[in-house]
Amino acid sequence: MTLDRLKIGKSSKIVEVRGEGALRRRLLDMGLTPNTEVMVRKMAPMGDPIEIHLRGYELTLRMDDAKKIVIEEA
Amino acid sequence: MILGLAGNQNCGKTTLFNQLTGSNQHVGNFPGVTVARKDGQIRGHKDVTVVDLPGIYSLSPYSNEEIVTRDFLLNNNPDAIINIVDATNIERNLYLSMQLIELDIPMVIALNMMDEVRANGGTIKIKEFQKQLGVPVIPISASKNEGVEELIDTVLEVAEAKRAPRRQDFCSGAVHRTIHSIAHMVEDHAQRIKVPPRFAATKLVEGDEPMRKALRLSENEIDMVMHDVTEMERELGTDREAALADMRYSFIESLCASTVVKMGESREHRRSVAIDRVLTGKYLAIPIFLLIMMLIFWLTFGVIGTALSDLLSLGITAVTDAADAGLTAYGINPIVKSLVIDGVFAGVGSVLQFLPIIVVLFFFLSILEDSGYMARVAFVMDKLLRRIGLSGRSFVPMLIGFGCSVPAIMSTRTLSSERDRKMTILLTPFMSCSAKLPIYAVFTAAFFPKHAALVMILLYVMGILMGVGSGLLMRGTVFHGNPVPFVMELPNYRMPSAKSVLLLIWDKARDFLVRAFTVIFVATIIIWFLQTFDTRFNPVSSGSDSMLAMIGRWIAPIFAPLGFGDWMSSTALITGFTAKEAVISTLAVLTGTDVSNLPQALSTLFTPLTAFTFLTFTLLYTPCIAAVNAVRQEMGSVRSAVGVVFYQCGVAWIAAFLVYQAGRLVAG
Amino acid sequence: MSPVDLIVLLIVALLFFFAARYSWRHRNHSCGGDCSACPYHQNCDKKEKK
Repeated sequence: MTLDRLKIGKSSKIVEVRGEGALRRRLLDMGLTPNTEVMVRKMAPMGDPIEIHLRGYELTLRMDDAKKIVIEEA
Repeated sequence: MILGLAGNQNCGKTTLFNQLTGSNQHVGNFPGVTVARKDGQIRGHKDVTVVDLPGIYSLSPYSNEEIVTRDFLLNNNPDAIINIVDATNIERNLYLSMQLIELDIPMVIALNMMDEVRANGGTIKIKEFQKQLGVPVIPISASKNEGVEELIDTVLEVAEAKRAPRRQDFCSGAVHRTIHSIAHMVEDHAQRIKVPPRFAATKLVEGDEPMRKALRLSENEIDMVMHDVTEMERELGTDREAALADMRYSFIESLCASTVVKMGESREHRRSVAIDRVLTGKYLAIPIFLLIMMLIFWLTFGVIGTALSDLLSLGITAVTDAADAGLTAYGINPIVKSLVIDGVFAGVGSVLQFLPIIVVLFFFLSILEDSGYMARVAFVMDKLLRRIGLSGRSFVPMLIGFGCSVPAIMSTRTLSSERDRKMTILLTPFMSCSAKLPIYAVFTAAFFPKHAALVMILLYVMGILMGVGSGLLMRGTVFHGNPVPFVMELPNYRMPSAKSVLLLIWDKARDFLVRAFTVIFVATIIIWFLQTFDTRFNPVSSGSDSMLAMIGRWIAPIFAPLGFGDWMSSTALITGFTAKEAVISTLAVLTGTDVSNLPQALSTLFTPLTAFTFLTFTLLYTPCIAAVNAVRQEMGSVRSAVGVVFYQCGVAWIAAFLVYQAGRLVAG
Repeated sequence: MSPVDLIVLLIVALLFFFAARYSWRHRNHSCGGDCSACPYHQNCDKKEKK
């Protein structure tokens, strides 16, 4: 499963971060590494981007980018 | 002695910088306000300079801020690094620290917001913590100025003793082996370009292009590096970038597990989440955003701003009258009197009375920025801006554009992609800046007194639509390509500090006053001169014989198809290039009235239709010279700045032409 | 022209001179305030030191 399909308010663990270049590096640098627990906090009013909670802080990323983050099945 | 101050965005870096240096900067909460480097002398240590580096999360080679920081630390040989770490968000903050330690420069970690951690039941075993990291760690509270003295003492001591971090090996297993073998292999190359071999090796393992090029490895060496890296990737079952990020975070996790008693969810964070339930909530976010913006504009332009403006205007009129009476009493030569009253007082006075509006607008904008709301605006508005090929981050510069194009264009520095930046720079001037407001105010008072608000809203909306249209056009042509990743931190809401807001306002007010008494003053005198004398420097009896009238007549035909081909409005548009407020002051001087009587005087020059056409042109045509200059600096070339000017004048002319012709058709 | 005329004229001329000089010298770093946050404020410092 990928992060974009995680329901609001639910948590899961990251398995793998796909993608490439600047985007991927940025995701890794912000702490989206394997085994990190992430929670989807909310979705922006227009349905995109999403706000996630990890490592004690809030991060926002787009749905397209969330598709590249593989998480554990619930 | 030079110290570098490095840390994440929103970790209190700017606040600490202010405490260290005693100088005052603007403290913003929007990720990336501190984009360029700032210097300052440490209080009580005149010989020690601190450089405030951009707020970054990593030393990757992908963003300009990161490259700038890296280059500074490697090439400018700072004596020590102060790495500020937000203790409430310690894991992500330490990620940068791990990379800084590899640079082998004396370093001290300033553990900020320790008061907040303690207040929420957390502690950090500092002794054990600094032992494991190998660098001194000083708990501080930048906002309360606690621990800053101790920090300064420690940094100076570490820098003088040239005490590099005691430990660099945070890795284990395959990553450890690979980094070490590569570090030995590239040692000579690294020493030649004065880069610590360990840092060079780590960057090579990460696949860092700039480092590989800088080291100038031989083909054989590149093969060997690649061999080691492939071996590591195979052993770990993951790729090089993920392996290193994982290595760093794994160490941080184990470090925190043994030394940090985690605090419960902090009060500040809970409060932030609660506020966000409303401010970025599904149904309320957009209405509240619009409401906030409307409230700000209403307060600025409808209540506080105009009331203060009227008051100031009364004062200016009183001073002008007194000067007039004084000069008359002394029997001054009529031409000299005209210079003082019609030139200086009328010109500068008409600009001066808009000072309150600008101050009030910037007061609200800086509160939005400092509180952290601007980051939420980017979050809420991202999808909308993505349609024209930008990200939510471009929304903030555009919003500031409603205040003044110059800081708006400058704030595009926070955008990490060149493409986004250039596109935002091009679109920002379409957001009607506050200096154009006096023009709207005078014209609507003269021609649309009953529908003043409607006309103004119409103009603002027209500007926005033109911006969107240009965005769509540019996206398909000049600026194709992919937008940058939109991965942004949403910091906790914070109470804006009165000090930083007041300082910002003072900066704005001072700049505005300086402009009024320099550029505007010079411009009004030149214009007064041009309109008082003819080409043989004889005083003219009627305005239509003056030099200014000649110039105006010369360019007037350009505006004839727009319905206002008279020399006065053409001249006003030219002087508007120096500053938009000058359009009004020029019209006042040319029609020979003061600003309070200008609406009546204008009704002889324009019809309601041509007045609206004139407003359309003013809205869209090129911003003032200061904004063009900012464009030149941010775009990095004169040619693109000139291109922007022509593009905007062209758009303005076409739009005004269409408005005028459509209006004539409707009116029959 | 009376002496008062000349004095007034002189004052305006002097002010004009200083204002023009200031505008010219600052032509390359005009900005909308907020100088400490301005990416170019360093340039100002350097020029003033010289």
